[in-house]
Amino acid sequence: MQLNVLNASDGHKTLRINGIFLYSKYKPIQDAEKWIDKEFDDSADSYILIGLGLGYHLSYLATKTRKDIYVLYFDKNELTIAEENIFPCAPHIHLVSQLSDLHVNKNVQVLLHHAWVQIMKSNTKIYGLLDTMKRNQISFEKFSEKMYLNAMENLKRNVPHNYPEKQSSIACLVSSGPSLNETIHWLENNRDAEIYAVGSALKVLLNNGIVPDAVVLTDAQDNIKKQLDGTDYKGTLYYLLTANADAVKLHRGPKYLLFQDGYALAEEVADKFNLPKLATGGSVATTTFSLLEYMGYENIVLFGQDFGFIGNDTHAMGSTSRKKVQTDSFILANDGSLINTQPNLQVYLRWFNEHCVNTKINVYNTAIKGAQIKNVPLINRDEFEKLKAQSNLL
Amino acid sequence: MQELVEIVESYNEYINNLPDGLVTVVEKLRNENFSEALVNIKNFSEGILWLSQAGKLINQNNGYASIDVNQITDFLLEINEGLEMQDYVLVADIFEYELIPFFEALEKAKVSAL
Repeated sequence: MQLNVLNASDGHKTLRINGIFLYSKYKPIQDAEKWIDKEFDDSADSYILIGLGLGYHLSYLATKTRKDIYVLYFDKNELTIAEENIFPCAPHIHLVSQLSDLHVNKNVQVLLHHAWVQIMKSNTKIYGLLDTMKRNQISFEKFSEKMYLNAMENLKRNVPHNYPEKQSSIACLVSSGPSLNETIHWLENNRDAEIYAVGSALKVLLNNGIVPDAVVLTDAQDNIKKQLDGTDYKGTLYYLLTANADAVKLHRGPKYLLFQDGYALAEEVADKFNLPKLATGGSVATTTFSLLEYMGYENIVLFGQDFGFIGNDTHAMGSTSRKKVQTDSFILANDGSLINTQPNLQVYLRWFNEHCVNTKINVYNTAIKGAQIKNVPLINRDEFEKLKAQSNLL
Repeated sequence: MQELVEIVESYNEYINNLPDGLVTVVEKLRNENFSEALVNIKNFSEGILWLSQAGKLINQNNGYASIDVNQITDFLLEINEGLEMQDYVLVADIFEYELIPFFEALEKAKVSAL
């Protein structure tokens, strides 16, 4: 890491790391304290502060709490320059340089300044983790009030109950990436595999005469109403406790509540009704994958799970999420070509990469122009048909 | 003449509202609401262009507008560099400590230079 200690306008030191300012170059300490004031959650049991820098964030945080503070620093030089500036020593401050040395309990608050995400961009492994963490924090903060209101409304209208038994050993998880344009016909006249569609793929399927066995909604925002609005879909709906309540209300078929791991209210209700707490991974497809894992499918076949796109169209034709974007990020596709991607898609891909390496389920991909997923082989239509035929014989 | 009056009114209204708009940009950047901040910054860059052209037109028609975009060119370049690097601390800094004071101090335009 390249650390440059500079003089700020107010006479204090400021710090630029790998060309990115961690603090203001005008009022660095005031800026650091404002950030801690904004982020600090007094109800946490302990704190993890990502990055040490000049110690400004740590120093102020240490004045606000006597609970344990774990600080993850990335470079030995950080320790040296922090010691030269502000460096509080107290028994509740623990400096660690390895992620594995962090003490993570259920009620820990992770304090991650967005500058660290950019600073660590060249360190692929750490960057992926920080980027995912930051995006989830921002998303949660942005929608937390709406999520809570949705949860209250959804609980008022529906009682949680157990999920139906699976009817096949194969589940097709249908997302609305552009490759669905090419593979959607594989799902016609299907009787052997169960089809789970994410909300944005529902209309794509219905427009092609395919009625999924289930559809999954997770987003809190109002704009997902259009995923169900105007359809006469009466199949099963799975929806996250915090999913948009007005969208859920539109559905006329059977409905099942899903509960996310890490959201206190969802965990409480899940425990009460003895239902699973699902890892959501930040997207509807990752949540659906967790649901299928819980339901015990032996094989999951991914459709339209691209994490990228060719040209500017992000989703398949007819998808409610389709839009045109410009991007300068690329990723390796299953056919060896490079496809366009976006940072949020990379967050979801990282989740799939981690889960598909560890899962006992056989996971298959059908997106030849979609991103490569670790431990997930690409199959063609014949192989998909064989897989279905084999499952019938068992 | 009527056109000049209208341009002066629009110019003054814009510079009157601009500092508050820039405070919002700073807040969005500091609160990590980057996507909305970037939309506002794009609008601001178009606004600066308009302001510069309107100022030129007012002065050419014997009015008075004190804006000189050259005075803030370095800051605009620094913002551009910050955006390219995704250095949002730097971008928020420039808006808060350089551009807001600049636009707050900007004199109102007049129909007559006298």
